[in-house]
Amino acid sequence: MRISNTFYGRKFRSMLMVSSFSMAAEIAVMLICKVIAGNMLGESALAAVTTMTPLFTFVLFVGACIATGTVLCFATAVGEMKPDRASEHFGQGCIMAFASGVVLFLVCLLFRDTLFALIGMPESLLELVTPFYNWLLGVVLILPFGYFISELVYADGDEKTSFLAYGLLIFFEILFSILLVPSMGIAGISAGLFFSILIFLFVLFFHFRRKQNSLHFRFHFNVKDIVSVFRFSVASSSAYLCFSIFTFLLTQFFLHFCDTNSLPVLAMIFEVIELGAVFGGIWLAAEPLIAVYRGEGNGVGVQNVMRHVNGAILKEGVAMTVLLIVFAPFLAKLFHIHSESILPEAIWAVRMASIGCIAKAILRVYAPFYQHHHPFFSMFVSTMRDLFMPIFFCVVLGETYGSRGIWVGLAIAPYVALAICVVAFLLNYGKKRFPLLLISEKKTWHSESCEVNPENILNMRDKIEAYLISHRVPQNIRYKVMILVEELGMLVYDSNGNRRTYAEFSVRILQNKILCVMKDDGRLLNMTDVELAVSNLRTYFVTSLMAYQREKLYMLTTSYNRHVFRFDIENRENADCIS
Amino acid sequence: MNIKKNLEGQTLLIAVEGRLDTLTAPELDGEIQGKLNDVTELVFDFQNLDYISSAGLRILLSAQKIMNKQGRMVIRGAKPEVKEIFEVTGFNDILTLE
Repeated sequence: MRISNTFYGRKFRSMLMVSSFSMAAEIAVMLICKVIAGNMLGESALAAVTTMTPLFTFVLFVGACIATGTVLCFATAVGEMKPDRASEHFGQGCIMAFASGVVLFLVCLLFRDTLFALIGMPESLLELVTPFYNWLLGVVLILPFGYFISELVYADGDEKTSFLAYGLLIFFEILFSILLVPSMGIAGISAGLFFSILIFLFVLFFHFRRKQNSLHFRFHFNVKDIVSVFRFSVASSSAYLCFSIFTFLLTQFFLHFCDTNSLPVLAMIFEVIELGAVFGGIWLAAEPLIAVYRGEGNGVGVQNVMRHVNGAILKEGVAMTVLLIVFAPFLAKLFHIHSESILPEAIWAVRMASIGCIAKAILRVYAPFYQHHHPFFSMFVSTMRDLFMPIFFCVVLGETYGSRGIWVGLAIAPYVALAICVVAFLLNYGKKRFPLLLISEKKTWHSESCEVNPENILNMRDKIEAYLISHRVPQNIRYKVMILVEELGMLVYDSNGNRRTYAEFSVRILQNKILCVMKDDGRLLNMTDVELAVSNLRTYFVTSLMAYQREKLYMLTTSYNRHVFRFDIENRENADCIS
Repeated sequence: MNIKKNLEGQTLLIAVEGRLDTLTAPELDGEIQGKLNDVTELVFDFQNLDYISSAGLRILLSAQKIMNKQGRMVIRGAKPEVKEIFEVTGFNDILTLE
């Protein structure tokens, strides 16, 4: 089925566009600082801003640690239909993100000299860095909270607000910096960044005024939950750490064993490798959907989303490879590599690094996929991808063939890392669970998805019926489920007029009950509400059904409607049930 | 869905087989609208009706409205599942079930 014809596919696609943009924007934020510093204030300013990059990255990393785990805990609680628990996770995350900003701010304020010594700040840059650093303290204070809110707003399904916020962040960062630098000098860059983050936050807060908002602050602070948050962040955080260690080790190796004239090529290659972060956008788009399916225990849903994820990996991986191969000469010039002695090598290095893109994309998406249930395997995938394999091949080939060997190593390493991860998976979990680790979660569920119109709704109803018949579900229960599919589906159709709407209906057959989950991306409508305004016979029919049906729940989930119903199977001997 | 009509004097018997849902209800509606002029008794035979949704109920309701003015309407042989729908929606108080 085409991605555009399914509920989850459409949701994934709309989230993917924004997540890719937000990932690119995150990379662009510091790049803009550097470009403006270099172009408006000269090379010393560029060097001064560059020395502060690790600090900025670290603050972002702290924000990511809190946000990644909280998004997972929040979305899982939503999937389990536990709104209070979801609010607790959100509340706790807000407190942690804000507190971490304050702590980082105080550390940076009180231990400035120690920090500069740790970074290895050259004396010559100290005078230039200080005014930049003073305003950067403000960024340190608000960035973890801003990052956290942006991730949660996105995970709550508000792609429009996220897109707008990131777009304005970049726009105002450029505008403010250009306006402030002439009067404030280098401080204008960090001041511009600070004010643009404030605007970013201001825009994100509009989400809380929207009807679709399901983020509600609830004061909560629990050590066990904090541990869960960091446990789920382990793959993402280890990726940052591995990349830092890799860059450090490879730089040291390069300085000792290679021609230092090629050092700018190495600096450029690090940036090219960092571009791989864009693949993280694929997971960012899938994560809220998958976490909800996991919360439901719906393996079929997870499998369906991952099918689209795999398609996106392949498309983005191939696109990135082709773009890097084609634009390698342009990229080298962008990094000011003009010298004839190293330009061909720089172009070749970019093209070599591009070869590994597809394998890196697979590993970048699957590492966080495993972090929910198997954090250590997830960390294993991250370390293989970002540290062990690249450093092994770069060092071995670099020692034999010099710097060119290193670039070849970058091409080979991701594929070997992928092969090792596959073997490790098969040895650990077996062939049957490859690669999604789903067996029982798939058996119990059946899902149908379609664009909402009368023909499709009835077609979906008939498919659900066929599934229930195949599992010998009693006639009276089948009838209720069929009525539910038709009436709810048609009510969604009626209430959305000409608006294109998609719905998904899932059933789960358990020992003595049937669980039905209906999702739609139409106008917000709680059909379990027995007080629903009755405007026609169908609404009256649905409210009558809802008054009769005891086991029912509605929850706004990632900005779409989600209804859950449960039917007890009285005569269970006759039903082919799966426990 | 299959519809069989049998007019005996002023009694119209309509036997409906299969499913009366969103897609099939307009067909039944077409068989009733404007065709009940001389009918004083309308009998629906639901013995072989497997499924009815709100779209089907709407047709029954409009037929009942007409028959309230010119005679009576009866539903015969409805299966337990169909009867349950009438009960849930309170239609069993409006319609005459036999």
